[in-house]
Amino acid sequence: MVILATSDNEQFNVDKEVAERSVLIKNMLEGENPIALAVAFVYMKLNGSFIRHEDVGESDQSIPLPNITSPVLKKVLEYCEHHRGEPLPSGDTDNADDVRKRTTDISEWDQKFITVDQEMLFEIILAANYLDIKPLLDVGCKTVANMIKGKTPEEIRKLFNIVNDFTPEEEAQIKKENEWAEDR
Amino acid sequence: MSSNNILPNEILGCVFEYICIPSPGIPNMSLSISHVCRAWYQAAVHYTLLWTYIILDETSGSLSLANLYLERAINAPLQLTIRCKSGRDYSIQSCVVSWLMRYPVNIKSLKVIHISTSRSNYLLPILPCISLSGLETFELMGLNDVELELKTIADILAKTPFLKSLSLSGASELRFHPSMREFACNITHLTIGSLSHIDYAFPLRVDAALEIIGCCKGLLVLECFTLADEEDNDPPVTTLPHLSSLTIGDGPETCRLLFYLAAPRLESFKMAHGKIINEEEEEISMPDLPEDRENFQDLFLGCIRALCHLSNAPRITKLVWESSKVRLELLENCSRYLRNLEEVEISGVSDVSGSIFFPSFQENNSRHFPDIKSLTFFECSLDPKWHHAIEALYRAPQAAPSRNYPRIVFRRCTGKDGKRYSAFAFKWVSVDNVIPIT
Repeated sequence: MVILATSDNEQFNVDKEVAERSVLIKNMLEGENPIALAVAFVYMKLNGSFIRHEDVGESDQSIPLPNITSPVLKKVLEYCEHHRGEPLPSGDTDNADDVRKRTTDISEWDQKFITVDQEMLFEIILAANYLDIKPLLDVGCKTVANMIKGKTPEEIRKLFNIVNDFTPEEEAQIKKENEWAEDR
Repeated sequence: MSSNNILPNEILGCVFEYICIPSPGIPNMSLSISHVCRAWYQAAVHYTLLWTYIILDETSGSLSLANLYLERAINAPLQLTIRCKSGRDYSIQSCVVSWLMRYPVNIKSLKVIHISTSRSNYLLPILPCISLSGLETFELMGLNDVELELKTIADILAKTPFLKSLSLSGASELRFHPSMREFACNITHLTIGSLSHIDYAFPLRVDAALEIIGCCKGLLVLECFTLADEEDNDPPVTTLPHLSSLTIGDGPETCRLLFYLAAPRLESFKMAHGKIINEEEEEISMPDLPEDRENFQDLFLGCIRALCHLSNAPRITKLVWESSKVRLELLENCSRYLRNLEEVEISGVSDVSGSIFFPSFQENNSRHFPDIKSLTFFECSLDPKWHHAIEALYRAPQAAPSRNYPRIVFRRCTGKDGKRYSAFAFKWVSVDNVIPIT
């Protein structure tokens, strides 16, 4: 078992196989990312939000996750538990061809899982990015992409409560680009 | 956290990756994304892939946008689509040609769409003069009323050493030229035989298709959708020594192509709907002709036999079944030809019967396809009893035989009762531990 400690001082006992869906945690457990572990310890100590088990090396030593709250970690672990045992993606997915071949389809289970409010959606994406859980990051990004697809800039702003902060000069350039698009 | 910066640029980039994948009916989103706010603009303009899908048509706006995209794509490989309409503005046509001549090296994929009349065919004769040396994919779509001499294609191939994928969708009057033999041997992926939507389009003949196919000796993937044939036509057999994947349209005449092909290394066979290019320039499935269905069953069986005889059947491990013309039960008759199937995908078939792949496990008889590892149903209509039988099978591990059953997945399937089974799938772990996902 692995113990994960969140920023709000909650601890989660997790099967090693489930926790290792996170490449960050996997590397920590294998001692391949000691810097990340040390930084996390210091961060948590400074914030007074983490009590470290003194018996270093024992199985109940907890791994601090200073960027993640317990509700978010609970959701992330639900995802990892469901996908336990599935092959982890290979690291070689960054070339342009792979990107082009991808679709925005999301499996039924993942779709239900990611049907959460917008704040939680963004928190899950940030947590997946921090923990390096590529398939979960993809599900989150696909969900945001599907929300954006087919919408105008104004509709996107409204959807995510984004402020239009372009200067008048930039607005003029945008207007020109829109005219080109309308001319097609 | 400000709403404008709620996601860091690296994650916005990941979101943009999915947005920039072109989808039918959804306009290119690159411009819209960059117009949301300054943070999104910064993320978008630095994400070069977002600007690599360029569409040129005969408008000055598209040329200005193409230049903007090109500037932001920097040196990323471009996927260019050129729409040649009815020759409405010759000055713009010359601008399109000069644009193309200025930036040929970056173009990795080129799709030329011709619409309706031969007056629009201004680009094709010029293409052989442009050295598109980085081109890997060339698709010519909808050129249906122009007799196309394949010498033009051969001349393009001569200048594109990295071209691997060639699609001549909608082109029906392809006049053969011997120089194709010299320059088409590097092609690994060939698509021919889609019909155009216009009334006077007619299919490519089987013998003409075979002439083109015969030039591409290095083919790994071949797709033929709608072909025409004559009873007394008996072309020689064409051998494709490396072909691993074959897709055939489900028209009776198209299927006859199988009698004239030999593919000793074939691993994957797909029976697909015929394709037609609609007025929105998308390839869509041809509607079924009811009169085809009755005559089609025997022909299909003969085709499978011919295919397997010519292709050393035991190698075929993947079957994709998209045709609703052929009854699924016919597969049973083909089982001795396709015994090594490992992966089966069935889509768009009504009244799916499970008896072929899942004979009652209680009988413990040998299955027709003993090596199947994966079975996927997509947009099929299922008999509810069969659905319950499979559910029972997976929930009764003690009754299951001591061998592994395949992973089965239903996507967007419905039952006869109208109930949707879209969420119905099983996660197969092992025969003793099967988790139904609901």
